[in-house]
Amino acid sequence: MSFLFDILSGFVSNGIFYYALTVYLSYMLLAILSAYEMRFYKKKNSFVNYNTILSSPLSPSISIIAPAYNEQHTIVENIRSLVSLYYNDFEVIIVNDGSKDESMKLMIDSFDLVKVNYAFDYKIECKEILGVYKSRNKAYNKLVVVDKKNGGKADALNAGINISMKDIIACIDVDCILESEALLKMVKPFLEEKVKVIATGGVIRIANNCEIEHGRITKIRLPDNWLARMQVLEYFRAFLVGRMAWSRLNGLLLVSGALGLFDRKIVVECGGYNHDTVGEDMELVVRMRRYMADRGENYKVVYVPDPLCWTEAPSDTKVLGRQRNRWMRGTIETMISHQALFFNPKYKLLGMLSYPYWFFFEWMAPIIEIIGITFAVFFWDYGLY
Amino acid sequence: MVNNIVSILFLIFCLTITSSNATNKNDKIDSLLVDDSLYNSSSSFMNKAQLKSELKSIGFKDYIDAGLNNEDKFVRFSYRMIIALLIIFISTFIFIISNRFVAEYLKRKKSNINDRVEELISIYISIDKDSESESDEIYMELKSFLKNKTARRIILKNILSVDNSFSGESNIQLRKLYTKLNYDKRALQKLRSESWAIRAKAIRELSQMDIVETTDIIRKSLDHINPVLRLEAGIALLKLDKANPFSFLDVDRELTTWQQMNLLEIIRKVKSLKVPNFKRWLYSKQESIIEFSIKLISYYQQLDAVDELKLLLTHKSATVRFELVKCLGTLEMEEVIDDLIVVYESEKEEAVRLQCIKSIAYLGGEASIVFLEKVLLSGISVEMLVAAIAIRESGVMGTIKLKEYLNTEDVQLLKVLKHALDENLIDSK
Repeated sequence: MSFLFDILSGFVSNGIFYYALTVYLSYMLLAILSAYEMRFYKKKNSFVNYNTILSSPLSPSISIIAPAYNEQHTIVENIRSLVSLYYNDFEVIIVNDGSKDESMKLMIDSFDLVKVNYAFDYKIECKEILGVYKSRNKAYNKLVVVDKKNGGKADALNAGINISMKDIIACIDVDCILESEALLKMVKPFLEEKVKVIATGGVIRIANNCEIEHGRITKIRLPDNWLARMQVLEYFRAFLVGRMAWSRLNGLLLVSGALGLFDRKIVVECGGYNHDTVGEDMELVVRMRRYMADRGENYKVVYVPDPLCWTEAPSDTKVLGRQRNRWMRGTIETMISHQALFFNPKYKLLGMLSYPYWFFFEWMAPIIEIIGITFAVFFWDYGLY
Repeated sequence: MVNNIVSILFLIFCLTITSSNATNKNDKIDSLLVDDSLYNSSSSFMNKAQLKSELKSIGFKDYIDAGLNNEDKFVRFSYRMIIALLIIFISTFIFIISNRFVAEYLKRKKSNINDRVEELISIYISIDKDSESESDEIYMELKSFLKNKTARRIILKNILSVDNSFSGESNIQLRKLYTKLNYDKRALQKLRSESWAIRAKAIRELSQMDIVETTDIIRKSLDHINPVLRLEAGIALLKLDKANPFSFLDVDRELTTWQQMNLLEIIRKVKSLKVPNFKRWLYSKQESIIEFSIKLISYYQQLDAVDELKLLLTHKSATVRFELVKCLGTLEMEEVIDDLIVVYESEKEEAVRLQCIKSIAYLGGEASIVFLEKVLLSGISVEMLVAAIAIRESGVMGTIKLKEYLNTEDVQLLKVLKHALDENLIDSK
């Protein structure tokens, strides 16, 4: 017992300190890299006219895939917002994942949908597709609605990928609000990089308390709720410091499920989204990276530091807890299923830096934190501070 | 978030422990630790009250301190780290606050100058050409602003912005004003800068103001390592270099799709461009230059390049082959159908095979229909669908032909046919 006590007290007095110190030093390093990358992005972007993409015959085509489950209150407004995004060659595929509410009926009525004889293959596994619908109204020519049996978000996204025939797929949450120029900004890295870009992500911002009109943010406000306010800061740190820096290093393991663009061909070759994890967004990116590395091809996953997507953040502890639980389980499941990457020199930066970083500072962090909190309380209780 | 809270708590904890008992307790603690009976008794947990009193009696707090004091380096390091972090935090805070005040002050100052400059320039372009005294007055006032760097930037920004919105006589006036205020000389100086961004901005400015004399200096930036600067130089030469506007193709540097898009946009806009024969770049070392040359051959419909294009159909790059097949389709020469069929039959890349089907369909004719029917029965669903849609788009006869197959028992074919014939999918690809 005394031996155990010695180890624990030694760890608490030294180990956690060095752990926290390493975390903070890594944050500092990432912040420097991120600042450098953003400065370069800002400079480079001062020469960019996104209308060039809008009018060019060389622009790649995009399928926006949005899974929807019981979204009857917002679905119609959200679809209207999606079909009015600025881009030339794109389609919006809404996948009704066996909703039990009136979502499907509302869509049929609002957009004058009719079942069509759409030819597709089950290139990647998904639950049965019951029907594909198109609008008779030319104004909604870009809209495709897929009705399928319930199978979860990953399954719905896979169904959308099976329907898509475009070069790039944009996987989004249907309740997110996209900036009008989101597609233009996120497709640019696919066009300008020398090496193949397999995925791009953008900054997600919190829409609580913002004014929204016709599916667009018209006035930005800080959330009223303190829990949501803290998440605003957290998102800034995560997106503008963490992901930008990892993008600079080409070691990014996660493109947010709320908005991500992917090379369709590579996604299909990788087998699409994994049904067996709650962190399907991270798992797909790691699998795609692994696939490219196994084939010995150069590739990149790029982050765009522009606010492109707005989402509602949890404002009570119960929902926040559930969300964080899901995120952490997703991370752990991805880490376990791709453990072959751990300090594997074959995967270069992915195996030697990205994966170990996530392992030590994302996966292990809650365990270390619990030990730290427990001991802090213990010492406090015994007056040992 | 939890990370941060825990780390802050831990830092406070370390600070408290390390500062409470700093020195000279080692001897006492060592003697306590050497005493086995005391040490062992501390580890036999009975109950909380007992443990608490035992820990206090042997000085558990001192035990912890001893651990820390035995590692003087650790304590010193902790102190320094905490102090350094606090200093960084406070100075960053002061920097951000003061920066905001300065920025607000500058914003107001800039706004005042901008209002005046805007007013002067709008008067300048609207006054009578012959009214020299009035224009001289405006020129003198604008010149008086030039000593200030911020004002200089504001005038330039306004000249460029107004130039974009107007045409004809107003542009001529503005360009005169630009050179009269010596902005062209300043831009030339900027072209010698080490910074790619400053050079790129200067090139953009000179090309917008049509300063043809700077063509040779701009050409030097075509081979720069930075892709943004190279692109700006390429765009400028398309506008300024009347003799050799496509000289950017001679440089052995990759042309990304983004660069190709921007160049193509300018090519479509600039009138009376001297167009060379692009087949001379079909054997460039850079695959991207070959790709872009093929796109330009297609854009300018240079039919005399067909033989060279056909020779390249076995190129090792799938992207080049894709562009070749696409280009041969748009040149509308039916005699290339046989070549495209050969490519289709030997090709492994799906995108190139699909493009072969589309190009052959676009070229039309009897040979095309025969080929498309063959693909329709090939059993490869993606290709079958492209072929079926192409047959339908060929006209009424095509639709009739597709309907003839509707009695088939082949489920895959039936699925494809129904898709191609569905009225509600006519506009879908």
